[in-house]
Order: sequence, then structure tokens, then C-alpha cells
Amino acid sequence: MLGDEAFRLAKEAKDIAADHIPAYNEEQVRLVTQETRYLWTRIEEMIASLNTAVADQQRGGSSQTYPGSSQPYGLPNQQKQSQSQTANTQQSAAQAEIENTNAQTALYFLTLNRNKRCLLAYHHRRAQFLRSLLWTLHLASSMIPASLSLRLSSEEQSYARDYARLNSTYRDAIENQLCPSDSLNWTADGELPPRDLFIEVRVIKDCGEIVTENGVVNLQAGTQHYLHRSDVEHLVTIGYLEHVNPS
Amino acid sequence: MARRNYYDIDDILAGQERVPCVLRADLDGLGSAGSGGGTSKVQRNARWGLPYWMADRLNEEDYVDMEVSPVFSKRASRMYAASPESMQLRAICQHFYQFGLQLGDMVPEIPHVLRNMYVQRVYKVARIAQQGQNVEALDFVQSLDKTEARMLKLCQQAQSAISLWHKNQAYALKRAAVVAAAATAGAGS
Repeated sequence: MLGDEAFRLAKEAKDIAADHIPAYNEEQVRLVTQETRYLWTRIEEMIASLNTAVADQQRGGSSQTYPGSSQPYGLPNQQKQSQSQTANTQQSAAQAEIENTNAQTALYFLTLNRNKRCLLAYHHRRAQFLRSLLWTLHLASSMIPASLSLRLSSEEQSYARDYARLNSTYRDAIENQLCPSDSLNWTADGELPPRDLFIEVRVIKDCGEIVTENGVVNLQAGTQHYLHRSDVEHLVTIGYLEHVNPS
Repeated sequence: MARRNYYDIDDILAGQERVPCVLRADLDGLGSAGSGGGTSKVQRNARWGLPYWMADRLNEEDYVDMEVSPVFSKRASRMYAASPESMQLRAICQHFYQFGLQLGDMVPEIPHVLRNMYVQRVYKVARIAQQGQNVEALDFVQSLDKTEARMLKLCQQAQSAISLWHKNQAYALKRAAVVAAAATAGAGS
């Protein structure tokens, strides 16, 4: 059925969850764009044939409006009638043909638009996923896990890089204007209000030394620290540290 | 009717539901997958189940006569009114509400049917989310359509968030879901 390929793409876009994205389906995208191009050439053909058909009919119609002028005088009446009858059936057949072509053009055009909508929605949804992914990873496109970046197309990867770059330029500009001597925490989780200033963290992966307000802290795997929340929050989100809960 | 979002995946999926139609003109190439041929003959007056996105517009132009989908026929509506909680919506139509909203332009009774149905069933959804699943609820959970299933999931998430908050764990920092998923995938392989 027309439009089924595009529907498959839309279903795939539906599978995108907060922590999962299916691989970019280049094959399916190509199928859909191919079908769409084919439909477009068919539409052009059909419109061209419609135009000639309508022009033909108009010529035929104009000759019929003045039957007396085109008919020789001496023709018997009966013959005249049968001639106009065949002309009539011919004309109605042509009319039906035009109607069919009209309907088909409409059908192809609808499918074309549907394909376009599915394609755009598919890519839109994936771009949306990429943006939210970047924000949780503190806008560092290099932090995207390898298992995920395998599933992105090269265009999507460069989109992620460009988005991060554009975003950092914007952030720098804002910070320069508002608070030139300070930096803002842009990627703080707005849905999770901070409660404690200091948190207890356990180190899962070595992060080396980090510089905090109270001096340098060496974060070695297996050790536990009591640190300023804002200093280590990003390390917790990317999985290097673990928040130990006071219970 | 409120304008639907062009990029809304759910709306796109719901638009794929078939509605019975009678063709008023020959629509050759309807059944083909596109670039393959487009030569298959489809004659007028044939009955076809067309996807709604196609049928609706062709109906406007009078190229087909669209009939009301059996999902929302008069008889079905009476059944819905009789026992909304026992309907197997998932089996009837996966996108019951979304599809109903799209059809609402054509049949003015549908929004009422949808509303009655939803209001009666959503109580039960909320109750199940609070009580946790039991055998009795399982049947009902399996009869939910996509919209209701999403509702159930949201209710359950909220419920577990409350219990976390009771245990004083609501403010724990967690690593991002993507990173966690990638880590478990890496450990698994």
C-alpha cells in the first residue's frame, strides 16, 4: 500500500525512549525518498496529460457549440444525430478519464505529503532526542557513549557537535554580559531542587584531581568524599561518582 | 478542533488506522509500494480499507465515499456505553483515543463516546497504579490502549516517586539514564 514505508519510519521514531535510540535507518529513509521522487515525476506527467486532455476537450466543445457552421448543408438529419451521439459518448469517456487522472493525482499528492510528514517527524524526533541527550551530558558532545554514537548517522553526530558549539558561544556571550567574573551552572537539573550544599560521594572511576573552593581533591576509585554539591554534580551524572545517600 | 502538531508521532501513527471506503474513481497504483510499478488496476466502486489520512482527504474531494470505521459504529458505541471498563480497547484499536479525535471532525458523537469511556476507565487506571498490580488488574491492564497505557505508566512513576520521598531518597543525584543504559550494555557484552 502507498505510504507503508513511511509508516515504518514513524513507528521506529516511536521507539525512541529517554535512554535508548534505534540505529539511524538509512535504508528506509532512502526507500521513502525514492518513492516520493517517483510519485512526484508521476504527478508531473499526469498534470501534463491532464492539460492536453482539457485543451483537446475545449477544442472539441467549441466545434460542437456551432454544429451548423461545421456541418455541410446537404447532410441528412439522421446522420447528423448519430454523429453527435458518438461524439457525446466519446466526450463522456474522456470526461471519466480526466476524473480518474484527477483522483490519482490527488492520491499521489496526498501520499507525497504523508511521506514528507513522516520523514520530517522521524528526523525531528531524533534531533529532539539528541538535544536532550546533550543537555543531560552537560553539553559536551564528546561525552556521548560509544554505544549510542554508533547508532547515529554522521549528519547527526556533526549536528550534536555544532549544537554544543553554538550553545557554548551563546552561553559565553550571556555570561560576559551578566556576570563577567562568574560562571553560571547552565545544566543544573531544574526538576531536582538542591537540598544539601554538601553531599557524600563514592568514586567509581578515577577522575584525577579536581579543584574546588576548598582546595584540590584527589578523586581515586574506591574512595569516599564529602564535597560541595555543585563541584561534583556533573561527575555524578556522567557516572564517574556515585551519590551516597544519608539514610 | 485544535490544530494537531505536524511532528506528533502518535498522531501520525493513529492516522494509519484503516477506514472502509467505496471508490468513486479508478485509483490505479493504490496497492503498489510506489517505485515498483504503479500498474495494478484498482477499479471504481471497489471497497477498500484505506488509511485515514488518505481516506479523509479523498473523501473531501469526492473521489471516495468514506464510511464510519466499525470501531466507532453506532452498535459499537452502544457497547462502549454499556460497559466501558470491560472493553478490550487494545484489541479494538491500538490508538483508540487518538484515532477517535481525528474522526471527531466527521462524526460529532464520537467526542462524547470518548469522554465517557475515558472518565470511567481512568479511575480504574489510577486505582491500579496506587494498589500495585494484582491478578485481577492484569486483564484490565492488557486491555488499555496506548493513551491509557501511558497514563498508567505516569501514575506508577509518580507513585514510586512518593515512596522514594518518604524514604528520604528523592534528592539523590543519579547518573543520566543514557549513561546507565550504555554501562549495562557494555557490561553485558
